[in-house]
Amino acid sequence: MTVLLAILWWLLLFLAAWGLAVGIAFATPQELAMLLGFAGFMLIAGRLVYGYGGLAAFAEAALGGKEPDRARAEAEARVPEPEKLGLAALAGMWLAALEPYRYAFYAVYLLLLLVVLAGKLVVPLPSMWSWITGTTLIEGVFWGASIVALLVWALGAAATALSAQLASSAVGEAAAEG
Amino acid sequence: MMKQYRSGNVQAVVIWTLVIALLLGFAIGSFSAASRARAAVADAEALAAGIAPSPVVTSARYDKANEALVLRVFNPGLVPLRLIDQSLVFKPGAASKQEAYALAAVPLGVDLAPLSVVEVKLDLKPKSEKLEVGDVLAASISYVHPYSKDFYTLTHVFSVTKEAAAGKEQKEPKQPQMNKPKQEKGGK
Repeated sequence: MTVLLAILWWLLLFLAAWGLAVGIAFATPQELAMLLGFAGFMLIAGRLVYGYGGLAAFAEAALGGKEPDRARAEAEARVPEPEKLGLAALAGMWLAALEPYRYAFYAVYLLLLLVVLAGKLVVPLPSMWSWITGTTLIEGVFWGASIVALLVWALGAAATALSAQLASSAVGEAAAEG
Repeated sequence: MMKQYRSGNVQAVVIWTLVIALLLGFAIGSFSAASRARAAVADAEALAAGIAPSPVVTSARYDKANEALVLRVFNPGLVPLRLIDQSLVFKPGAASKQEAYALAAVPLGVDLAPLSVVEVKLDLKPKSEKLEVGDVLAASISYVHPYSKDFYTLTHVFSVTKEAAAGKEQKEPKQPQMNKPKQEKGGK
């Protein structure tokens, strides 16, 4: 069974690599720009993606009554004495620690959006056709970055929602106790 | 009692993420398809620019005063052509007193730019009789294009009808035509 799964895994991996190679070989320059935009913004957003992902998993485990990864949360929260904090407070501190990265990411993304919009609206266009199709390389970078922006927004919103749920449930518990 | 967070709804986040992902996927797919369409159009244009099509005679006219056959020649392609010389074959009709003659290789030297029309004047044999109804002229123009050292020939058959003899412009039909010989009439 394990051998079979391993064979299947490597087969799928090979197929994915093969598909990627073929896709890159037959891609237009705009599509390659899109891929590069995705990869580049993924590098910028790596901290946010893993941070919000870990935070969402932490809050979900805490809400479900399972044992959350407290050690990682204490390392990420960036407060002087994290071991004294409750789970909800720890999640809130972790969320706050990610805030500067979120602002930096959205600032770069909005800058790119402005550049693309300027290219669409301000630059005199040689023909209607090129305006409709509008396949500039920077626009490809923008669309690749948009995937990452959606990922960051979704993970951030989910992590915020779960942390808020955790906080309100903790508050509810405290109110019920006190 | 602390105020509850309004954003503490994971289901809403999931649904909104799916909706935005759908729109984003549509936009990205459109962008990708547009870039492919653009590349295909560029390829087709490059191909069309390299193929030299034949020039087309759009209309012909007999210029009675100058004793000339005037052809309007259109270059439908994206390659410039040069019309080198002309030759005429004359087949006299019943009304003509002339004998048949061929007139070959009179230099022309007309440049025909892409997608443009020129008027080519083919001088008929000097001191010959006027064209009569029933005469047939086969006007050949040889031309060259920059992608080949060969000479190509375009032959236009001009039948002198009553209107043509009066000098009226004889337009070529715009419908597609295969230049098949006409079917024999009668039979049984």
